[in-house]
Amino acid sequence: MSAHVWAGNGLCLVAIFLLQLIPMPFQQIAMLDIGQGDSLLFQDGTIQVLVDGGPGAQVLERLTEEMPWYDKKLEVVVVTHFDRDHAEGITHVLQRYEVGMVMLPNYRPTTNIGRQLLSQIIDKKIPYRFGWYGQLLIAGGMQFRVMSPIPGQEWERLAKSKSNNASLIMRADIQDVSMLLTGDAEKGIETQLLNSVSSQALDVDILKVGHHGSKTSTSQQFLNVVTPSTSLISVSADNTYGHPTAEVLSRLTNTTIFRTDLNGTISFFRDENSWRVRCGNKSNLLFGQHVCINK
Amino acid sequence: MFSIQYFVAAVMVLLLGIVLGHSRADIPALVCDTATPMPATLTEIRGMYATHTLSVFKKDDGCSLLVYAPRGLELIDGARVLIDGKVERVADAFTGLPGYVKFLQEDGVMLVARNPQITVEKQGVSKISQARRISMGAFTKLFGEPDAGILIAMMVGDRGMIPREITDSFQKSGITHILSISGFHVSLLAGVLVLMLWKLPLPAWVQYAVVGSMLWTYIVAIGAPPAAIRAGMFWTLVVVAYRMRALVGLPTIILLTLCAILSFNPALVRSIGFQLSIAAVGGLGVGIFFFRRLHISSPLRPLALSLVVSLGATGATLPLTAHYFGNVSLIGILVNIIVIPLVALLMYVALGALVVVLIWKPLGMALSFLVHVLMQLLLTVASAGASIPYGSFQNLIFPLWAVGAYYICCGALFIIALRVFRIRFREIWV
Repeated sequence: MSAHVWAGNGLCLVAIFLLQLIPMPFQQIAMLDIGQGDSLLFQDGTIQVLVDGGPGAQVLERLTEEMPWYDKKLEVVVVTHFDRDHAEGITHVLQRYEVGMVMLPNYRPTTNIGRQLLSQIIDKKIPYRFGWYGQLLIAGGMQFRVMSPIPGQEWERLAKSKSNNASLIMRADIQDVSMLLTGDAEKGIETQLLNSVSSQALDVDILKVGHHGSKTSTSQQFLNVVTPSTSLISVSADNTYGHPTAEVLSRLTNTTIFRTDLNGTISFFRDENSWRVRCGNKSNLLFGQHVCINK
Repeated sequence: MFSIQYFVAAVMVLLLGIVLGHSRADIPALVCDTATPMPATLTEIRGMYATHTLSVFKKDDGCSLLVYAPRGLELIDGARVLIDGKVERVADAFTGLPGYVKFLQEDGVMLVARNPQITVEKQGVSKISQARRISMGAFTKLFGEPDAGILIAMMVGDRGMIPREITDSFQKSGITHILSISGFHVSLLAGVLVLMLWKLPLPAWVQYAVVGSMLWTYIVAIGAPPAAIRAGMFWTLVVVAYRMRALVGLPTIILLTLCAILSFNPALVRSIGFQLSIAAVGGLGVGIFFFRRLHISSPLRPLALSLVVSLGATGATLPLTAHYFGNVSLIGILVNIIVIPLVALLMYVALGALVVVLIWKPLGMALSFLVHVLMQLLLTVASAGASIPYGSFQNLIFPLWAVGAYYICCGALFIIALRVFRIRFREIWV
C-alpha cells in the first residue's frame, strides 16, 4: 500500500474519531446515566430542557456528551423536588451553564441542597417559576405540561406527608412522542392524577418510572391508564434501596424497559421520520454509543 | 571546597527537617464545646469533591472544627459563619478509625460536623483564595466535564471534580501523578514562558525577572500548593544559580530546594505527595545520569531516554505507592511515555484557549474542542493501559521495613553501578 493510501486511511480514522466526539443537535430525549437519581435532557437543536440533575456532579459529564460542544446554555432547568438525588447536580449546572429559567416545585425546601439551590438562583438572578397544574412550557418544538401539583387539600396533605409527593409531574411532547415524568411521586399522587386528569392526557408512549422503580410508585391502576410502550428507570447498579423492585418490574412486563444501570445513558433521537434508541453502555464500546433498537 | 561545604550544610538542614518533621507535637488539651449554633471562621479548605467540601473552621475558643458541607457553598478563607446542626468530637465521629482520629487531633481538629446548616455572616477576603476561585471559574466556563475537572486538577490543584472511574483508570495505568500539580506541570509552564520571551530584545535579567514574576503569580493564583511552591523554588534557584555562575549541577539545586522547603515546613517530610515527588525526581535523575554515559546515538535515543526516565521514576516511587496506596502499576512505565508529551500539548492548548477566548470567543471555543479531543485521547490511553492484564496490582501490603529495605538495595545497586561504570562519587554533583 502506498503512503498516500495509508495517509488517507489515517485521516479517515481521525475523522471518525472526531465525529464521535461531536454531539449533533438532534431532537432528543435522553435519560442521563448519573447513578442513583434522575436527570433527563430534552433537546431540540440547540434548545435544551434539563429535568433534574441527579446526585453529585456527574450530570456535567453527561451534558458534555449529549450537548453540542459550542452550546453552554440550557434554556430551561426543571427541579421536580429538592431531594439530593434530583437537585444536587442542578447546583453544579447553575455554576457551569447559562440558564434561561428554572422551574421549581412549590414547597419550602427542607434539605441543605434545596436551600443552597434557592440561594444560588437568587444570587445569580436566574428567572424562576413554581410549577402548578395546567402550566404549559414551550421550548423550541417541545411542549411540557405540568400535571401535578393539583392545587387543593388533597395535594397539600400528600405533599406534607412526604416531600416525594410534592414532585412536579410533567407530560412532555416532542413531535409524535409523548413522555410522562413522574419525579418520585407515590401512589397517592398517582391516584389523585387518575381522579383529576383525563385519561387521554395521561396516555403516553414513554414512562419515566416513578421513584426509581420503588414499590411505593407505579401502581397497576396508573399503568392501565398511562399504557406506555417503553419504560425508563434511572437507578445505579450498586444502590442499597433494592431499586427497581421485582414488583414494579413485573408490572412493566408489557413494556420495553430501559435501565441506566444496565444500559447507561438512554437516548431517543429523531432520525428523519422515525425515533431510534441508542444506549451508552460504557462497557463494550470504544467509540461510545450505538443504536440498539428501533421503536 | 565551597561546594562540599554547601553540600554538608544542605544535608544537615535536611536531617534537621526530617527530625523535626517526625517529631510529634503534643495534642492540645482543649475542652471543646459542641453546642450549636456556633460562630466560626474558615481557616482552610482541605478538599473539594463532587458532592461536598471538607473544610476546617476555627471557633472563637480556639477549637478547630472539620466540616463536611455541600460543594456549592462558596466560601473564601477567613469567612465568618454560623454553624448549626449536629457537632461531634472526633473520637465519637470516627469510632472505627483510631488512626484518623489521632491524625486529626495532632492537626488540632477536635470537632466534626457533617452537613450542618451554614449561614454566612461575612465572606472572607483572602486574595489567594479568591484568585484560586477565579482561576477555576475560567476553566469551568470554557471547558465541559470531565475536561475542566482534569485541567483544574493539573493546573489549579483541585481533584474533586474528577469522576471516580477516571481516577481509578489513571491509578491502574500509573499516571495519577499528572492529576496533581507537580514540578513537571510548573516546569512546562516555566518552559513556555521562557520560550515566549526568548526572542524578545530584552536584557537577560529582565527576561528572568518577567518569567519569575509570572511563574510566582501563577503559583499564588492557584492557591500556592506545596508542590507548586517546591517547583517554583527549584526553577528560581536554577535561574539565580545560573545568573551567579554558581550552577554546579542539578542534583545540588534539587537538594538545596529540598532543604529550603523543609526548613520552612519540616512537617512536609510526612506528606505522601512530597515523598513521592522527591522519589520520582531522584529516580529519573539517576536514570538520566546513567543514560548519558551510555553514549547512544541511534535515532531512537529520545524514545530510549523517555523509557529510562519513566523506568527511573516508576522504580523509585514503587515502594511508596505500594506502601501507602497498596497499588503498583508496571504498565505505567510504558503509558507514561505516551502520556507525558500528550499532557504537555494538552496544557499548552488549554492555556492558549483560555487566553484566546478573551480575544475572540469562536477561536477559543474551537481550541476548547481541540482540548476535548486531546483529553479523549488521554482517557483512551489511560483506560487501555488500565485494562491490560497484570499491568497493575491492587490491594498490596507493603510494610514500612520493606520500603526501607528496597531503598537500601537501590542505594547498593547505585554504588555498584558507579563502580561498574567507573564513575567517581564527585561526578554525581556536576
